[in-house]
Amino acid sequence: MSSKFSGRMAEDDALRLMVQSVEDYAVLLLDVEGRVCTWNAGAERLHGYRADEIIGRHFSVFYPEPKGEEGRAEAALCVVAEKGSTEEEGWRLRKDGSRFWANATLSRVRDGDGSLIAFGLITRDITARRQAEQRYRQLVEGVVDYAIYSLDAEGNVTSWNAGAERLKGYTASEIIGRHFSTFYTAEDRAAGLPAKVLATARRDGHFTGEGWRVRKDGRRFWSSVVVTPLYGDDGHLTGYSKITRDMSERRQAEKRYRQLVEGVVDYAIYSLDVNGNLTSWNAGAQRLKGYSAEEILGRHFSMFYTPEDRAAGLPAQVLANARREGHFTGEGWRVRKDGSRFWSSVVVTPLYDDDGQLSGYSKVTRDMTDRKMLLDQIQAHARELEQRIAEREQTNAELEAFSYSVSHDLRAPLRAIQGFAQILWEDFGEQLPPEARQFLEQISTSATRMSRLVQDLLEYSRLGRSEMALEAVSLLQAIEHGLEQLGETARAVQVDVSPGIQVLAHAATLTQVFTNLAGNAVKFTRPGIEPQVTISARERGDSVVVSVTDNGIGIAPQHQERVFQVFERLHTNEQYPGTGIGLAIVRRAVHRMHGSIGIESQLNQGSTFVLQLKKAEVKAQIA
Amino acid sequence: MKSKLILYAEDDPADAYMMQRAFAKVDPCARLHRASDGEEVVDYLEGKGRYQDRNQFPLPVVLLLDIKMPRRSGLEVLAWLRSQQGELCRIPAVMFTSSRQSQDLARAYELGVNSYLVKPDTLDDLLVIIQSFDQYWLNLNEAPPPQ
Repeated sequence: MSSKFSGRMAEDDALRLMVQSVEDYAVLLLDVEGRVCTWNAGAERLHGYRADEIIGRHFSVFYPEPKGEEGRAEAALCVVAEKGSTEEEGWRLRKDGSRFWANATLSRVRDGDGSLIAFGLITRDITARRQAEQRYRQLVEGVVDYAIYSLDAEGNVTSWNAGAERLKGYTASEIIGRHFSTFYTAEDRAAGLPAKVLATARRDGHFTGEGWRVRKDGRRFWSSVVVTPLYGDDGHLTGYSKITRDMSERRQAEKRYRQLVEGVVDYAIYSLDVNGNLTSWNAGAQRLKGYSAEEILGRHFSMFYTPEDRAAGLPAQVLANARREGHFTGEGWRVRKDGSRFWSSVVVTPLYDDDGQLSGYSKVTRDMTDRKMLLDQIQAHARELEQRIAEREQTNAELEAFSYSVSHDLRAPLRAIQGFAQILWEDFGEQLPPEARQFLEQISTSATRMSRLVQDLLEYSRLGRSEMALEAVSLLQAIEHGLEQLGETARAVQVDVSPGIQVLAHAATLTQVFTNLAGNAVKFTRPGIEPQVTISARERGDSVVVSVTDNGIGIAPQHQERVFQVFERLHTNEQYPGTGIGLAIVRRAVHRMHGSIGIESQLNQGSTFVLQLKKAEVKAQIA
Repeated sequence: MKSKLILYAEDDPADAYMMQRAFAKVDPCARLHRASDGEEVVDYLEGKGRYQDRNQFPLPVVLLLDIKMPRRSGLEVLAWLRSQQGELCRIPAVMFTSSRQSQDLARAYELGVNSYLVKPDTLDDLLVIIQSFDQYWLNLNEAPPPQ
C-alpha cells in the first residue's frame, strides 16, 4: 500500500512539474470564484505576470472588457460549471496591456462526489495563425479571375468572393443562402447534374469538369469547375469549396486553333496518346500520308516509318528523345499509304496536363523530298566537281612536269645538231659543194628555230609551275627592260607611261610580257608601212590599264581568242617567223599576276592589246 | 709548273666533245679530264681503280659538274665532296648544266658550289663562256693552298 501511495505521489509531482515547465500553453487552475491558484511558465510567457503577482487575482484581468461587455469571464465560468467545458477564441490581455489572439479552453474540475472544486484554463497564443487566415481570406476574397465560394453540406452558398461576383453577376448578399444549382442551365438541373457533381466530389475527393453555366443576367458561359468536399475535424461533411473559371475565351481560342490546324495542308499536324496511338489528324496529314482520319485514328504512328527504322526501334526512340529533351526534331524517310517514301522533317513535342502528367505528343511533319533531292544533287555535284578538280590538278601537274622535262631533254640533242653542224661548217666547209653547204645552213636554221620553240615552251611551262612572289614593280621600268630585249626594232615603240605607276607583278615576268607584246607589235607589219607602236597606261580604280597599240595587220574578230593558245599561229613561218607561244606566255603571265588581257582589233587596222594589272599599294609619303 | 687539270663530269658525249673542242681553242694548256658519270668522278678523286696513280691523275684545280648524270648526279657528287676531309673538300666546284630549275640552283648553293653555269645553245656562246671560265678559274682565282 505504502509503495503504491508513494508511487501516486511521485506521479502527481511529475505532472505538476511538467505543467509548470510547459512554455507554449498557459495552464492554470482557478478556484470556484475564478481566482488564479496556480501559474506555469507558459502563463508567465503569455500574460507577462510572475506567479507572485497574479496568484489570488481574478482571471477576468486577462479579458479586455470594452464598455458593455463586462462580465464575460464570470459568464464563461457559469457556462462551464454547468456544461463541463468551453473552447473559444478571442482577444486576451497581457500585463503590459497589449493583446494577443487566444484559443482558450476552460473546463470544470470536480471531486469524486461531483462537487465543483476548481476550473482548469488552458490558453494558447494563435495570433500568427489568425493573421495567416485573415490574409488567406483576403486573398480569396480579392481574387477576381476565379469564382471561389463555399457551399454547406446541402449545397447552399455560404461564402462568395469578388471573382464569383464578377463571373456570375450576383453580389454576396444576393446569393448567400441560395442553392448552387441556380448557376446551372435548366436542362442540367432537370438532369440532376448539381447533385451528381456533389456526389462525385464526395466519392472521389474532388470533382473537376467543364460545362455551360448561367449568369444572373441569363447569359451562358463555358466554365471550368473544381469542387472539393470539406470535412470537419470529426470527419463529418461540412460543405464544399467551389472554384469556377470562365473558359469561354479559351474555348473560342481552342476552336479557332483547331480549325486552323485542321485546315493546314502543307504540314501534317497530328497528335498521339502516351502510347503513340493517333488521336487527331489534319488535312495536311491526310494529303501528305494518304490516310483519312477514319482510317488512321487509334493506330500506332510507327506505321509511318520504314520497316528498317521500325526494326531499329526508331519510333520509340523518337518519343523517348522528345520526353528527355522537351522536343525532338529530325529528318528521315517515311512511308505513305501507297508505300511510296518521302523525306520528312519532323518535330515531336510531348504534351503534359496541368498535373505535369504526360498526356501525349504532338507531331508536325513536312515533306522535304524536293529539298532533299536538291541537296543530294548539289552534294553529288560538289563531290564530282571536287574529284574533277583533283584529277585536273593531278593532270596539270603531270603535264607541267612532262613538258618541262621534254623541253629539257630536247635541248641536249638540239645542242648537238647545232654544234656539229657548225663544227662541220668550220672544219670542212670549204671542202663541201655549195649544195651541201646550203643543206648545212638549213640544218642550222631549223635547229635554231627548234631551240627557240623549246625555250618558249620551257618558259610557258615554268610560268604555270613556279611560285611567283608579287611585289610593287615600276611599270615604266618593266616596259623599258622589255624593250631592251628587242634591240634595234624597239625604236618603233613609243612609250607614254608615267614613271610613278606601280603595279603588283613579278618584275622578270612583266618584262617578258612587254618583250613579247612589243615584239609582236613590230613584227606583224603591213608591207610598205613603217611600224608605229605606242604603249600607254592609265589608272582606273585599283587597276592599271596598259594599252599596246600598233598599226600592223590586225586580227580578225574570229581569231582573237585563238592567238592566245599555245602553238596557234595565223601565218606561216615564212610570212612572220615565230613559235606560236609568245602570246600564250603573255596571257599565262598576266593571269599569274592577277591581271587580264584582251584585244581590240580589226583586220588591216592595227591591234591594241589591253592589259589590266593590279595597282600596287604605295605607301603614302608624308611631306 | 702548276698543273691545270680540270675534272669534267659529263655523260653526253656530244656535249663533252664540244666542250673539249672549246677548251682546245681557248686554252691549249688546259688539261680536261672527262668522267662520264658521277661515280667515276668519285673514283678519280679518291684515287680508286685505274686512278690510283696521283702523278698521272693529279687532283684537279676545278671540278666542272653536269647535274643530270647516271648513277650519281652532280649534286650527289657535290654533297659527297663537301663532306670529305682535307684537300678534297676544298676543291672548287662549278655546275655546268642545262637546268635552270630553282630547286637545282638552291640545292647546289646549299651544298657549297662555287659557281653555277647554264649550258648555252650555240657553239659561239659556249666559246664565250669557256673563255671567261678559263680566264677566271685557271688564271685569276687563287687555288686553295696544298697540304
